Amino acid sequence: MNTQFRKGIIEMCVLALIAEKDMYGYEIVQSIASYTDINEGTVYPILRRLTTEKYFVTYLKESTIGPARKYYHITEKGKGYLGSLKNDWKEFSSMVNDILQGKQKNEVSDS
Amino acid sequence: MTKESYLQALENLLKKHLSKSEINDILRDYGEYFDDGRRQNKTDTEISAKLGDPEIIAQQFIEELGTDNKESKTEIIDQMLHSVKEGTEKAFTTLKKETTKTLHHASDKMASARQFEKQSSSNLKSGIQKSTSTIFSILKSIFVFGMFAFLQLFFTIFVYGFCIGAAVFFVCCGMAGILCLGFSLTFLPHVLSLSVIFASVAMLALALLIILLTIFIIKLNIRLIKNYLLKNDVK
Repeated sequence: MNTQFRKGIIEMCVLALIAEKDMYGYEIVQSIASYTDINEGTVYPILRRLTTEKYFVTYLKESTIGPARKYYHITEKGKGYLGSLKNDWKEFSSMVNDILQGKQKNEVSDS
Repeated sequence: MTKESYLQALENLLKKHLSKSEINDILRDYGEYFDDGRRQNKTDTEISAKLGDPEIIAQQFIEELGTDNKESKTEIIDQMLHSVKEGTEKAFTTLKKETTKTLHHASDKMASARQFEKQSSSNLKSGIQKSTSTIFSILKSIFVFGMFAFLQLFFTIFVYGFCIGAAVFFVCCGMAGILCLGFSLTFLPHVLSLSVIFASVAMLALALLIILLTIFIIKLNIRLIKNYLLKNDVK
């Protein structure tokens, strides 16, 4: 799949996951990796950019079993951004589905 | 790859592009990831294989931050410095090649003139025509030497003068910028004083570049003179 396209989709998934609850890096990466096969290291650059764009804030939380973990928390700005991404995605995917189905129908009727 | 070697590789790849604090933050994140993976009883090799090639990750960090204003500015300066360096290097190799060619030519001429001189002195009878041509050759060789000396003088006065002048000018500009820092921080808006700092640093960097160039030119020149004298001695 096109990397730029893939990056955009992973960005949306990361936002959606963190909108559910605050998560730390490993947890986020593993959640996404449970759905699809990705280079796990490439999630961090996305997390970092979304943080610098103020869609997330981070805080350190001591864990009982080791050193502190960095947690990501979604901001109001992040929620707004996720909302617009979701709308775009719905429109886009229904359009793609329509085209794909329409094309298949046409091919059947043509042959 | 172990945690340490993975982080080291990532650090080396990012060093040129990101600030120290940004890199430390990134390395902290990946360190935490390794620690969490180890708690799940995964080996470092498994974790680093899942993370993927450090090169791809570093590339992605650089791309993500490429839109950042500060970063792109330093990148442009880096590129400019690089192309200036490349350009001057190219120019100097051409100059060096041409000068050595001319010098070769000149010393060849001188050698042939001398030979001619010897020949004609052993053969005094060969008449006025030959002796005039010998005198002509000697005059020519003197002229060539004179040209060389003149060029050398010209080179010394103008090129060195220009280089040193430019270096001093840029150092002065840079120092002035830094000395005025207190003033600009108090009286000018923040953005302006930042650009003053930026300009001062750029001036100093430029001065350093020019000084390095001057040293390079002096070295080249000394080598050329040595070459010239050596060739004449041998012949």
